[in-house]
Amino acid sequence: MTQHPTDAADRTDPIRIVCLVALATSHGLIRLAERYLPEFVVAIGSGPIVAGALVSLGLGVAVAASRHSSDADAGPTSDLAPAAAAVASVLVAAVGLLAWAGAPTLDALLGTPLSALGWLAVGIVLLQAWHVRGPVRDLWPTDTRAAAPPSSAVPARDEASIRRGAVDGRRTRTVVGALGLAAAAVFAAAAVASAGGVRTGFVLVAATGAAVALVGAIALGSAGERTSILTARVLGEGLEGSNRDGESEARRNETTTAAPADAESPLGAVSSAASRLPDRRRWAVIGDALVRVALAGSWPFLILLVVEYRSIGLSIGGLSLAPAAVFGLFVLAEAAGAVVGAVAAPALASRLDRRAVLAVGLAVVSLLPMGLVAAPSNAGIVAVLFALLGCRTAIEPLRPTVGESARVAPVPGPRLPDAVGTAVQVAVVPAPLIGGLLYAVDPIFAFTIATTVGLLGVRELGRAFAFGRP
Amino acid sequence: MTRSIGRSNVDHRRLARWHLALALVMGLWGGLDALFLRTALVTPTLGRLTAETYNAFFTTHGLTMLFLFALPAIWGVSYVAVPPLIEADDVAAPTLGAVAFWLQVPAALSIRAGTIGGILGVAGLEPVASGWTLYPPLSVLSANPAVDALLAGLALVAVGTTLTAWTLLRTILREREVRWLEVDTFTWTVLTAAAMSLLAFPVLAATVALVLADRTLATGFLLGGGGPQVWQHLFWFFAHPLVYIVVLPPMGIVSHVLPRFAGRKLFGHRSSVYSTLAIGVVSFTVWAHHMFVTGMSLPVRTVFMLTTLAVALPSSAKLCTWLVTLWGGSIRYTAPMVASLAAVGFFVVGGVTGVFLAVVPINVRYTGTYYVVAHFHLLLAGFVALALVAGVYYWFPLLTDRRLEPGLARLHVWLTVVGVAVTFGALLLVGLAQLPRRVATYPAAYAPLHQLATVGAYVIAAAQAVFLANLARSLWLGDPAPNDPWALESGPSHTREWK
Repeated sequence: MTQHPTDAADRTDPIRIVCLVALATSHGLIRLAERYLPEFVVAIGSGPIVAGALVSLGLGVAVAASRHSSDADAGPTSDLAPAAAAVASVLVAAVGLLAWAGAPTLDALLGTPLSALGWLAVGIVLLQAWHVRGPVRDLWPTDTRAAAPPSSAVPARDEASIRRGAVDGRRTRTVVGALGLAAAAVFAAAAVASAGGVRTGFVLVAATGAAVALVGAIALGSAGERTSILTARVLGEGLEGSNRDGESEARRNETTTAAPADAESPLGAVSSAASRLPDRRRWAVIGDALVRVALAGSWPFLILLVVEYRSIGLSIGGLSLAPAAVFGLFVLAEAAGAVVGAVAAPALASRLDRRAVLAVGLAVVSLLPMGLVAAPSNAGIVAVLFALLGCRTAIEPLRPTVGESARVAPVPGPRLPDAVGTAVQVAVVPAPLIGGLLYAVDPIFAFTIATTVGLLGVRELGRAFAFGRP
Repeated sequence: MTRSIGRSNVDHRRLARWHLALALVMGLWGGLDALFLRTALVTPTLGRLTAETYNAFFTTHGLTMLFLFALPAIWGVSYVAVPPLIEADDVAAPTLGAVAFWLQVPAALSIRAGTIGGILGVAGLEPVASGWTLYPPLSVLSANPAVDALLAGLALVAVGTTLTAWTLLRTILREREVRWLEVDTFTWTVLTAAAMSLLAFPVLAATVALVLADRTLATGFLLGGGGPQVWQHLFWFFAHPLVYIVVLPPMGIVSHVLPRFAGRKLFGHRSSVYSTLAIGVVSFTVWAHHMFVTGMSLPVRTVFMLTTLAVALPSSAKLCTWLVTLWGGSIRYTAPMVASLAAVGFFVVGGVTGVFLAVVPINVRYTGTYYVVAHFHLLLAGFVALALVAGVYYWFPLLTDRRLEPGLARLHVWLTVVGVAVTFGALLLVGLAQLPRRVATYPAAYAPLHQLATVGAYVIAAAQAVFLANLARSLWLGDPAPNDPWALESGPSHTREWK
């Protein structure tokens, strides 16, 4: 296995540690702010449709920007570019969080006609810089985005190294991301509880996120002065382990099996790429995509369900926490579940039938929206359901839409063509908006539809696995 | 050479470590106050916080940072550097220095008694909320016993600082082994600040005694008639020189550090010394510019405006020496150098905003606004604190025989620089809009700027966490410092302290 010469020194480098802590914490605070955004939107007088539209806007901008970004990656870049892009993306994200924090009053200060929602939209657009070009964009995302495509070529490694690297890197990313999220969840719960409401609590989370992101940007910039360590690329490798190496290698080996889609319209490219996939592979991708759409359509409204619809509070001894603060603890449970899932993933994949693990896992994920609606108003039970939601990291490596190497995918076939992967990402974009519309009609209706769509996806996956057939 | 107190040996390095440790602890405590009040200002309304609590935060923040952080830090840096710079064996009276230091500990506890009592739930003891200036009648009429404890603490600070100043003054005058012409600029600033302290701090003790007499004996010195104005004259006669006592040694640090990492000798050594002495003298003649809105006559205000503007001249002379020293230099961006350069930048912004405040019509308009907050924090947090950071980093090997991790040190400096710029840049904008200071609520339109300031404050806090990590790492794992830790031996600036 190839060892980078600076690895040993880099891992104990104090600047690197500061970078990792700051960026992982920023990651957590940004994700928490995103989780609280729908409740904040409601608190400033709008409803779930607007919240869904804002989330869809973010997903749409991310898809468009990631396509542009991957095109740019294909061209020649200087050594400085990735580090500068990483610092810039973190700074832009910090500005985005500030736009969120000041959204209700920025018009009064600047004399602009955007309104609070307009500034929230501006913040969302700016935050996509973090998701698309940020140095820790591959940490466990908590939402329904598919993994970012590999962006850098690296020296080839043997197959065992690729597999091992992929597993270790993914687990590291998940655990670091979940730890950042857990820290942010505790902070958010405390902030919302001490502020006495989500309006001030959200501002505190966003402002703190901006501060930590600024620290991360300065730390990255400071590290950039040392040529031997810690350009954004090195940091990326550090967090991502050798996973990217594995994926890149796999991609090089497998792209030969995917025909080019030159001179075709985007829709035609997707159609032809999908038609070239074997039936089972196609069904598996469609099934997984449906589950992603279902989760994307319900995930942003979990906070509304817990805070507005179910009003699940918590009292321990003399301490009473309002539902909005308790939601932070639910996210903490989700992060804990994510760690458990990530740690258990290799064992599950090696000891059990990967197809069964994937199918059962996706079925559980699909049933969770209904479970959250139907569960008793008990914080402990809801926390367990959130933890189960987090446990989906156990099946993430196996999901057909992740673009995983055919070597480790449970469904035989070539690697997912880029056009199909992009189509899945695009399909997810309107889901929050539609989910918001349905939630506005009736939360139970919205979550029932989400579960139904998810189960349809599991059914498609079942076709791909040919369960019950010889 | 060490001299003993009881069983323990005290030398200048130990005195320095004690002072710097106290400054560190109290700086963190005072910084925590600032974080709380900045967090309270994230939203335009108070929420769960009371206005009284907000007032307490800015009162204890100001008192702690000035009396329990800045002063001990300055004396700590002075103790570590001055004896070797003047080739003295040690300080002149280490026992006196030790007594002076140990007076600061009960002083700190007394000054923070309200907070401690509040945390421990001591009945009737609440954090003082009258502002660090303790204007009567608020301070005299307050029923809070923590005010008495605070006044007693300030009296102890006055005694302790006077003794410390005397120790340093005697050291420079009696123990000096170099000729006056060879005395470095930092030592000159310490000499001047110590002499100023001998004049100013007894005035603090006297004014504090007046308030205590009014509170306990109902003497009525400061109540009714012109009493409150008497307090202001006495207080600011002490407190404005205090600003320069706090500013001058950092000026000396910058004058010491800049040439060493610019590969040059300090340009205008004599000019720098004369400007130090001039600032020391003139600073006792400007106190009433803090009172332009108290009803003084126009001729009196004009006189104080002119004397205040006069302070800008020696200050500008110092700036010129720094800039010309840098001109054409071969600059090494070490942590102390980056901190010094940033300090110079903040000195310019903080100084220029101060010049405007000296002008009566502008002062009348802006004195009650965040403009003043931004101005003095740009000087105190931007210039004084960063120059102290430069001094601590530069002389850290002298203090501990170890080296700090240079990457973390630079990161600490950069984070502090950005944090200070963001925080007080935002507050300067708020001040230019004439938003009143010392008020816990504000119009909603200013929320984004206050939030930006809070973000900057959090960055400053993160920077200090990096400093603490570096300090701990260096004390436990740091490499032993070589004799010439900054590789200055072949440079044009003398390196007397490293011999």
